Amino acid sequence: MTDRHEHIDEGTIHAWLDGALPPDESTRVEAVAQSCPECAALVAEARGLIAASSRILSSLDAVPAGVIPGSGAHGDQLAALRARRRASTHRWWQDRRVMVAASLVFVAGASSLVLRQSSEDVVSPATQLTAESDRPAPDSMLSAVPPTAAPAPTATRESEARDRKSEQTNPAADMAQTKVATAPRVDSVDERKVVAEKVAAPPPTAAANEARRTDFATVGRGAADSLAIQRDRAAVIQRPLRQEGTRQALQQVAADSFARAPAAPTPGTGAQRRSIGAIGGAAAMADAAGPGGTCYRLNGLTAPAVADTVRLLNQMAPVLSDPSWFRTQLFGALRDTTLAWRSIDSVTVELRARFGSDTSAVRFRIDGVAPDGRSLSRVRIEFATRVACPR
Amino acid sequence: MNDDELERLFRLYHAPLVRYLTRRLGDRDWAEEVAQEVFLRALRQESLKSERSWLFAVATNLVRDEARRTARQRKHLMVLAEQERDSVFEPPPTTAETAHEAAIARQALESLAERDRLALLMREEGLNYEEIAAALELSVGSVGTTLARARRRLAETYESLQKGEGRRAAGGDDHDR
Repeated sequence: MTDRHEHIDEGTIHAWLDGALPPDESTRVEAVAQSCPECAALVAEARGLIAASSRILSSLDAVPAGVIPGSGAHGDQLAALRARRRASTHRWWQDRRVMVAASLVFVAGASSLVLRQSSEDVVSPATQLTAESDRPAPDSMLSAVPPTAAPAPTATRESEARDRKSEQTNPAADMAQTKVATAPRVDSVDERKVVAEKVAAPPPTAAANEARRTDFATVGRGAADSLAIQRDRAAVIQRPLRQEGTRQALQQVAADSFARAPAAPTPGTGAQRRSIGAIGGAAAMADAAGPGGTCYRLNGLTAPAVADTVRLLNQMAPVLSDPSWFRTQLFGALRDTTLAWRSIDSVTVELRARFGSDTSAVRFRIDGVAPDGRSLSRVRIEFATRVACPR
Repeated sequence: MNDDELERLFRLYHAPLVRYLTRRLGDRDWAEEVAQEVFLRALRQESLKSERSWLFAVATNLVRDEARRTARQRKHLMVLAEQERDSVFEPPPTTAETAHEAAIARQALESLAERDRLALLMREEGLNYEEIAAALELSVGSVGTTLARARRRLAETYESLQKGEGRRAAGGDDHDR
């Protein structure tokens, strides 16, 4: 018998299995699948592909979250949305707290990168800064932030202008009636980054200038937290620079310590924490973070990631205070902000921030790509958790 | 849109939207941020004609806009990373098998063409063919073909990557020497 069957193409088979065919077409495909062995094989294969795809994609869901205060329950998020709606007449770009809330993105990680200090290839840490200005802080935090009448940074005004333009050219009514796929381009995520991207880069240190090439790496994306600003307690503490030679030596010692530290099998657990270079750590911590500081702990890092995280942070205008605590003062929109960090153990970096201006939210994010661009989640950094600042 | 409508929309679509974005971005917190922005934009609408496809389309646009912005920088960083990969540490393998699988899955997913990837992710969140077509500006008739191609490519790439990892684990890889 010759092949009288009309073969069905793969797309039709998938549409049939997805229940997307009209009844008559579905009946026809079913009949063909039953009478044509080749088609039946294709159907079986398609079933396998559908199941396999679902299984593969489900493995991407094992992404921890919930470290951002107020971002967990639906109720909280709904409340936040409603609050934002109520505040819609007071646009986010008009909020000083938001304008200066350029957040920090710390690039650390698994892929090794090179900073070339004196060429156009320079990858300034400042360019890695990312604004999270539109993120609503929990009410309890926002309530602690006093309003301010300080002028907006230039970058913010530009962002505002673009946003206004966007509002004019994309009225809501159009959006509702336009085809879904032609819904207005949304720019706010970009715009939220504008502020931070225009933050002036911290000046290169002498050590950095001497280092022709500095490696750092990126591991994945970490998590975030929102901060309250205790304006009245904000004061910038700036330690004098030590002698350059000492500073470089200490940096080297610290980096070597991190690199030598063994990776813990379960990153971030307290039992496995091992203090590295704890000399003077407590005192330096109190000094750097101060009573108004907010402390974070970056968990789940691999040992090289810790080394490279700290190494990267050291690119940000470091003021080395001792071998275990590093500190910097940030510039631009985050002026008067003091940041301190140290390694807790081979897989943990502790980070402390003290804000001297009206910054209301900061996001710590470990970001980057793997060396070959394919291992992002393999060595994924977990989260920055807010911790009590010990005195 | 009133509060009741918002709540209905949120309860119906927040979880699938966040899952879709998480799979797309590989970052749950980032996904939640984008999702919140999507719902905020929905709030400003009087009504949504095809709400699910609208939400997914706006989410897709948000991600795409940001991706465009960071692509150039990321590419540059990757080039630099490639230059230095021999002179620095090799990232240690994670002990978590799930993380390893997720890494391969993400690589396989990233190997898909953008449209195929988005169609597949949307379908996994329950969007029907009409909704996928609307969100991605496809004809309904081509969605089946798009999904078939995406699923095949995803599964085949995933399998091939697993085999490659196995070979490397057995010491067969000499690229890093």
